[in-house]
Amino acid sequence: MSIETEEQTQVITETDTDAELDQPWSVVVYDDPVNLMGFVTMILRRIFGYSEEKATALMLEVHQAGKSVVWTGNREKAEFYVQQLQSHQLLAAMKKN
Amino acid sequence: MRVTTTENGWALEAIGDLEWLFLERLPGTASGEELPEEQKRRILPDPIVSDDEDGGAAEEAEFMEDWNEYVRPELNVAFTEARQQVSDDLATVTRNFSAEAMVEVGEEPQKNFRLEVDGEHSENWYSTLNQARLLMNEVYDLAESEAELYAKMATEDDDGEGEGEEGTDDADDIVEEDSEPDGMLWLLLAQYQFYSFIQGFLLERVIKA
Repeated sequence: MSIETEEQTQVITETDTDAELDQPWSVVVYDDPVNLMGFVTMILRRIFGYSEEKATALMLEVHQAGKSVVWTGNREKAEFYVQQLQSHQLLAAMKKN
Repeated sequence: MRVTTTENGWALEAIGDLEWLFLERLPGTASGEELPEEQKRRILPDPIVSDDEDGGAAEEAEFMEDWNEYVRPELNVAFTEARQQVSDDLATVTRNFSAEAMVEVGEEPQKNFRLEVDGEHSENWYSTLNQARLLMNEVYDLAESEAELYAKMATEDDDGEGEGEEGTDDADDIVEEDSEPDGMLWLLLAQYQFYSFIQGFLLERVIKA
């Protein structure tokens, strides 16, 4: 009886986790006064493959608005992108939409 | 000091004493070796933000555990390797104290220190310079001091148009003196801007997008 209950609980938990994984996540880059603007643009191009124009627009949004959502998608990729951005010392984090 | 591109990368030439001091300090400054953990956290920030004030963080506890166990150490290793590369490069500096090696740069004779860096090391240099500036700003708020300094210089330039008028108010003089950065802050700002100058060169001339 107790074993069955544990199994049921486990199934429910896994279902919740799967649902969570499917929710869109945003990767946010925050402004900081140290990173050079050209560097931020270059890294956005490199990591996401954005055009010069798009990367520059995002960089300017970071600079002027204090932050910018630079990518939205599934959680696994968001984690990967945050790691990539942080490896270049950009102030980046992911956020559930 | 001059910074130039070379066949295999780039070089710093005619490095002065103060500039060499800043270069020698670079790996140590970038490591934040004597800083408390909360100030070093800027280099390895939290990877997740939540608007949910009552539980978002708790929900992510397992994720943070994994991040701290696997990702942060990996990033830390990469940053440490970058600093080590810079230390290794600095050890290759050419020093020539002979009279023949003295060169004129501007008005001051400089010792002919020359540091040649392989182009493949440039990203590690950029990373290390960035680590140093991030931590210096975290501790001393240098970006704000720099902005204040530029604003003050701009104001002085504007005021300079009326130079020659005597009788400046004593109270204004006191305020002026109090607003001057002290010697240590000047030195830190010079170090911070020196690193920024090299980063700008690398970004413009060496590192490929």
